[in-house]
Amino acid sequence: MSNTLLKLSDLTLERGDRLLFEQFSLRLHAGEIVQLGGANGAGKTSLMRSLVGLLFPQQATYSWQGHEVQSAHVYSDEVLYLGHKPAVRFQLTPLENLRWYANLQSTQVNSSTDEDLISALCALGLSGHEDEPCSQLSAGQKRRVGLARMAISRAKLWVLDEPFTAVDVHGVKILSQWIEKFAREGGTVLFTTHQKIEFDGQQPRVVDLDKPGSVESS
Amino acid sequence: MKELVTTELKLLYRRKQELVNPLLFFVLVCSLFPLAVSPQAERLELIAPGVLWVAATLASMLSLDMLFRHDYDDGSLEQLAFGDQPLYLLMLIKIGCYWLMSGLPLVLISPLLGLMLFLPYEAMPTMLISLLLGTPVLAMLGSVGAALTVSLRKGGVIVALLVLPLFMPVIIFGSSAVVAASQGLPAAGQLLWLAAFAVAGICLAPLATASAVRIAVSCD
Repeated sequence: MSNTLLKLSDLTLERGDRLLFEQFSLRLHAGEIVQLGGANGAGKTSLMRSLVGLLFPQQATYSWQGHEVQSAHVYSDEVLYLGHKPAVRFQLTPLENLRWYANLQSTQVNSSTDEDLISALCALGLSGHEDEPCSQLSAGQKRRVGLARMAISRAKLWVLDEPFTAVDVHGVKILSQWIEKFAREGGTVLFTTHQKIEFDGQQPRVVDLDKPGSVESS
Repeated sequence: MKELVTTELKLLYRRKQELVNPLLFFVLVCSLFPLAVSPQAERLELIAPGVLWVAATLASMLSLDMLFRHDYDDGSLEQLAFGDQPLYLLMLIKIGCYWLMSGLPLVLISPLLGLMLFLPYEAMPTMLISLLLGTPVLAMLGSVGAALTVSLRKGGVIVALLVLPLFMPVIIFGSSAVVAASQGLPAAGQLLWLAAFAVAGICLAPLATASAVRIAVSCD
């Protein structure tokens, strides 16, 4: 594939006393779905957090759309990052949560009108729950409130850390359709999961952190 | 931006049980002194400025943990640090709203406690102004400590050890302003010092807090 969106090279990352990555490289192309594989503790989350600039590696070179950039903060407004923790406030309603996010990341959100936010929530099966406090929702529903951000995002890269945790089969189906649609329109998705996810069309490229062979060299 | 402020205020309002605790603490500590020292007016009016200021300081330290704890636990802090809004501004909003909901009630209830401790009437305005200028400084300084310790599971006592030494100048100028006013002396000098602290705190503390938040998030 030709169109490189993000290239991370020469990554050296230590966590505590462990050397997680040394001279590691990862290249993400436009329109590609990449699944990060590896055992627990292989460094999937650390790699994702270094990619979006939440973690500061000992050494790394970032290149965004062919241009070398100093840090991940340069392109962070083009990235949708959904971490391990859903970043959903229990005291707020799903609609208030999504509105907060839309205002926080105003440059990478399509629209923040209430109708659009509600339709994003409804698309994930939260219709009728928009004005209920999130503390009364189930774990899966809370996770869906966080995932509804995918529907209003216009980022170029989605970085999703275990997005399917606690989500039921039907929800996983919707999310995988969203991911595929996003990739068809030229977006790039990097995600991790320990579940078996089935995509209809494009199959994800698997980068297995346990097997150095599956990671391309720079 | 306006939406972020209203969300912050809404969140604090819905966690009001945590905001009531410091207020009750303030009232209870102040009401212990007439019981323990003496209910005589001439004894109490001597210690009133110090008691009010120390109790207000400890009370505003009590709720510091809630400033970032919830956001850290549910991952919102990560999104704040990651977002495209300047973190300095987001922290300023956060601390400002927090002071409005936790510091301002302490200031508003202090005249009642001043009455209970026989603080002379002519010192009341000075006490109000000193607390009004001083408690934002406490919130600003405290936020740095809270952000530095948020990634520790048991940060409670460490926050106190970190921020209490920083609170000392505020207590010194705050209580001495009230002492001066209760003796009929001018207190403008001390109040101006407090105002200077407030300006410096509002300008600089969010910078330090933002850096501390980035560190906390990267330690996760």
